[in-house]
Order: sequence, then structure tokens, then C-alpha cells
Amino acid sequence: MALPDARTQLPQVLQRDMRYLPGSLDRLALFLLVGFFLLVPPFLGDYWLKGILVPMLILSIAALGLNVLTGYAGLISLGQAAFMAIGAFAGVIAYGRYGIPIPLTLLLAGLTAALVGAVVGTPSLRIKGLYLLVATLAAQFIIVWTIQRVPWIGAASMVTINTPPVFIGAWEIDTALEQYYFSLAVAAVLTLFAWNLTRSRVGRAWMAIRDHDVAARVMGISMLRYKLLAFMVSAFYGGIAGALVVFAWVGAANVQEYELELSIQLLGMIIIGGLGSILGSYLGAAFIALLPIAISIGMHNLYGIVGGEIVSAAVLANAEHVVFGVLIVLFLIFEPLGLAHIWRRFSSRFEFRLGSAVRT
Amino acid sequence: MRPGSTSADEEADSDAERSLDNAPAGEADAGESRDAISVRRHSEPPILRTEAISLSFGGVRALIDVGFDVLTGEILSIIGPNGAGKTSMANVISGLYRPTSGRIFFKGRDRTAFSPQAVAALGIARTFQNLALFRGLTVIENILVGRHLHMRSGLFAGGIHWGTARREELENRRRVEEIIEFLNLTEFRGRAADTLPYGLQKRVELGRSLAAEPGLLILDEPMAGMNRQEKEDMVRVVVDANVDLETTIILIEHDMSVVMDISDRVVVLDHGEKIAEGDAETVRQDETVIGAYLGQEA
Repeated sequence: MALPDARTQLPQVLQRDMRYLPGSLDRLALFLLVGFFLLVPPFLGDYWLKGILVPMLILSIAALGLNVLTGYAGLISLGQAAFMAIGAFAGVIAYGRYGIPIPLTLLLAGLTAALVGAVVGTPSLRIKGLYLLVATLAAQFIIVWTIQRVPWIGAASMVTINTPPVFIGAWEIDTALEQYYFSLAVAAVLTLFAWNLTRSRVGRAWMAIRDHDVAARVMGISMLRYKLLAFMVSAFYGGIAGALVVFAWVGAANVQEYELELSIQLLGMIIIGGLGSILGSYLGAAFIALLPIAISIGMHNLYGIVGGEIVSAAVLANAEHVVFGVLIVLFLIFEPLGLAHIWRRFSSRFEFRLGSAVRT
Repeated sequence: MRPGSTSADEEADSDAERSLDNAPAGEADAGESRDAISVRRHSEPPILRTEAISLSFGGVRALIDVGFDVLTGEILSIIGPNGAGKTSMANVISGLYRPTSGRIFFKGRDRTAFSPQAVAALGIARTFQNLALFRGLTVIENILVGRHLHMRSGLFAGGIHWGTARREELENRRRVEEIIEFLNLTEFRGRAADTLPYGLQKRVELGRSLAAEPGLLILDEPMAGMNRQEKEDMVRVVVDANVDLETTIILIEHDMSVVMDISDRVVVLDHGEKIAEGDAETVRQDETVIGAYLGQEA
């Protein structure tokens, strides 16, 4: 692989080791993706923007946060939707009630979620695996319940809190395209941060805990600090995603959108996309966002062939659940590292071919 | 508190003072012969002292009143048959087990109740009998984890990367390359740790612990399950780490023959008790030791 030969100096080798993307195919793919996300959306209709791309970006952020916790630190959680709920309500209260500027509001939404995340994360110092899963499941219910019951939050009477028109400075974000670019900017910053972080000392500490916690402790890695940090970062991302749901997508905070089902869906996303992979968080979210469309097209064709009645929404919703469940099981059995790993295999094979082609 | 522990306290305190006075004396030329080091080291206070360590799990007594000194710069081997309590002792020293009674002093300071993390911060590193690598990480990354306590970058520096974190990362990656070269792992540096053969994984684990630049290194059966060639390689690396890197080493081994040539002193455990202590030759001829290894009641 990256053998340092006599001609290459050590500093160059070290710099090369630290590149974001070692493979040329990876770089090309990233270039195309960034190009697509920047340039193509103006030509897409509102359906694509509001129905697919914006929710996909928001779910990617939430999934990215969960992946930090579950994929990198190895701490499984079923509470990510609850952190989104915290972010959504913290955001709508900060902006709608107190008029705090949107960038600060997003930060505040994330920090509020992170604070609760630290509390929810404390059991992880004693328990792991299935037991931690149940503890986070409890947190999911308690948080959603609390949001509905605390009068100050104001969710009880109306269930839904609408946000006033969204302004960043003098710029009003009201068209689908503006909402899309707003989400994209937030997602880009958070992705770069997570990408750096997971490759840093902190990221390695998380992976060390995931792979062998006893050895990690003996190397001087503090369980308290890094497990809670993982929970906080994860919740921070969830909180910002929740606030984006309010400010860039739905325009309101509704506690019923953040039920357990969303938490399970997010967990499914990172399993299908790839545990312990930044790319995987995006692939998983994209996959889940596009799945209903694929199913709908498939069902319509199927009905066209067998000649059934009109495809109802209920049938489609059920089909989604079935396909989603089957896919998670299949991925867990056949490709536990998800779509990201399929891509990695493909790209490294490509690099290998490229390398041998150059040599001959 | 045990009766008579007061005198031990005083002794430890005076050790602490002396070790402070002697602190700069720990330097030695890489070219200095092992004999010369061996003479010098015996004039220094012990780097680690264990006093009457007992450890029980429920009714099972894993260690009974075990105590010994580890001298600065030496290779001390702990040997004994299976189930003698060797690994328990390593776990007690590295803070994974809290001893039921007894005390541990490192550089003269009592640190019996320290957590593994605090023990690591003192400069005590270890390897494990069963492979304990971080399987998802590459060789480089595994060894970089060993640098954890020598690095500072936290959440924000790490997330921003450009600036201090990158400088620190490059600097520590350079140290890691030195270790990779020292252990002849260059060929495998980018490989995922769990794709390497067993002997190499053991070596990576040793590299990870050396990366911490420990004052005291505990090697728990580093040669277990190896073939002869791999064992010889490992012995050479252990001696190099001891001489070139000036690391004090506690070597835990099941196989007596492996350790005899390289150990300065040997402690023999059997059924959780210390049955002998001394240089290799003395221990080899000790009746009790022979009895323990041959399974006779001595």
C-alpha cells in the first residue's frame, strides 16, 4: 500500500497519510457530488427540493450524529429523534419567542440537546449493548413526554408551534430553494467538523473504546470524558437537525414527528449506510429518502402487470416498512458495514486496476 | 488498615524523597552495556513496589500476600504455572483490579486505588495476554492511540483540524513511524490491524504500549502462542526496548525457558503466592519452583 520508498521523504508520507481522500476515484466522486448539490437544485422543482433533498440533508445530519455515537464510539442509542425534538422546540422558542438570530438559535438548539445528551449518556458509563439501548429508549419516551407536559414549552395545548418568518439578517428564507441552500450550508459545516473530528485524537479514542474498552482505559483514555462527549456531539447534531426541520422544512415544531419510529429509522439509516463512516450517514439517509419513490414506482408497475386496483397510500406505507425491515436484516447479515463499505471495495479495486494499468 | 503499616508508610515516604533527589540519574547512554546498566540500576530506589497484595473474587483467592520490588531499568519476570495469578497481578498493577488488601507504590507514591486511566498517566503501560488491538484501526492508528496521553487536541481543535491539531498530529505520527521502524512493521503500516497474522498483531500491541513512552511496561505473555522464530524476534525487541528505550519491564511468562536469558530477576508465583524470587539461576534451581512446575507438592 502506502510504502514509503527512498525517494519520498517522511514528512510527505505523513502528509499523504492524512489526506481526506486517498483514492482518485473518491476525489472524483466527491467533486461530482458537490457539483450536483451546488448546481443542479435550481433546476429541480419544489417537489424534489421539499420532498426529497431538504429532508434528506436534515436526516443526514441527524444520522451523522448518531453515527458518531453508535458507529464510532460503539454506543447504541434509540434516542436520536428525541434530541431532534429538543432541538426543534429549543429553536422555535429561542427564535419565535425571544427573537434570537437564526445562527445563534441553531447553536442554542444544538447545545440544549447536547446538555440533555450528557445526562442521557451517563448510564453508558456502567452499561453497554442491549441495556444501554433500553436506557436510551427510556430517554426517548421521557423526553417526548416531558416536552408535551411542561407548560412553559407550550407544546401541550397546540401540539404544534409555528415559527415566524425565518430571517438571517435581512435575508428571508421562504422559497424551497433558499431552504435547500440553508440546509446544505449547515450540513456542509457539520460534516466537515465531524469528518475532521473522527480522524483526530478524539475520534481515535472513540474507536478505541468501541473496539476494546479495557485496552482503551489502559492507554489512558477517560471513559467518562469520551463517552459523554460522544453522546453530546451526537445530541448536538440531532438538535441542529431538529431545528432545521422547523426553520428549513416544515416551518413548525411538532412533537409527534419525533417519535420512536424516527429513532429506529435513523438507526436503520446508519446500518444500511455504514456504521463508523461519514459517507455512510449520507448514503443511508439518501437511501431512505429515495426508497419510498422507488417502492411507489415499483408498486405501480407491479399493479400494472398483475392488474390490481389503484395503489393506495396505506399499501405504500406498509410496503415501505416491510422493505425497510427486510433491508436492515439483509445488510446486517451480508454487509454489516453498509453501502459505504460496498463503495470502498469498489473504489479500492478501481485504484488497484488503475495502479497496475499505470505500471504496465 | 493492616497493623504495622506505619513503618511501611515512613519507608515509602523516604523513598519518595530519595527518588526525587535521584531523578536525573535515570539517564544512560544507548551504548552503555547491559551489565553497566544493571550495576547502576540496583543503586536506585525501586520504580514500583508492591506490598502484601491480596485479591479475592468471592471465595476464590487469586493472590495471597504477594509483594516484590521492580528496580528502575531492569527486566523483572513473573513466571508460574497456569492459574498462578500472574495476569491478576498485572491487572492489579495496571489498576484494572483493586486489590482486596495490600498497597502499591510507584516512584515512592502510594497509588493503590488509582484507576487504569490514572495509572496510565503515571507512565505505566501494558500489553494483554489475549490480543487487545483496536480491530477497526490500522497499524498506524493503533499505535497513535498509544500517543493519546502525549497529545492535547480536544473536541474543537480536532473538529477544525487545521492549525494546532494538524501540527500535533504530524509530530506524533512521526514518533509513530519511529516505533514502526523499530519494530520492523513498515511493510504493514497501513493495514487494518485485524488482517495481520497473530505474531505481527502482538508486535503492533507492543508498539502501541511503547508509543506511550512508559517508565514501566508490563508485558503479559508477549510470546504466548508464537513459533520459535517469532519468539526470538519478540525477545530481541523486548531487550531492545529495555536497553535502547530505557524502559523498565515486567515480563509475565508461562514458559520459563524464554525468560531466563533476558531477566535480571525472576519472581515465581504459584496458586496466588510468591514462592521464589531472585536471579534466574537461583530460581531455576529452587526446589519449590521445580515442584510447582512439575506439579508436585513441595
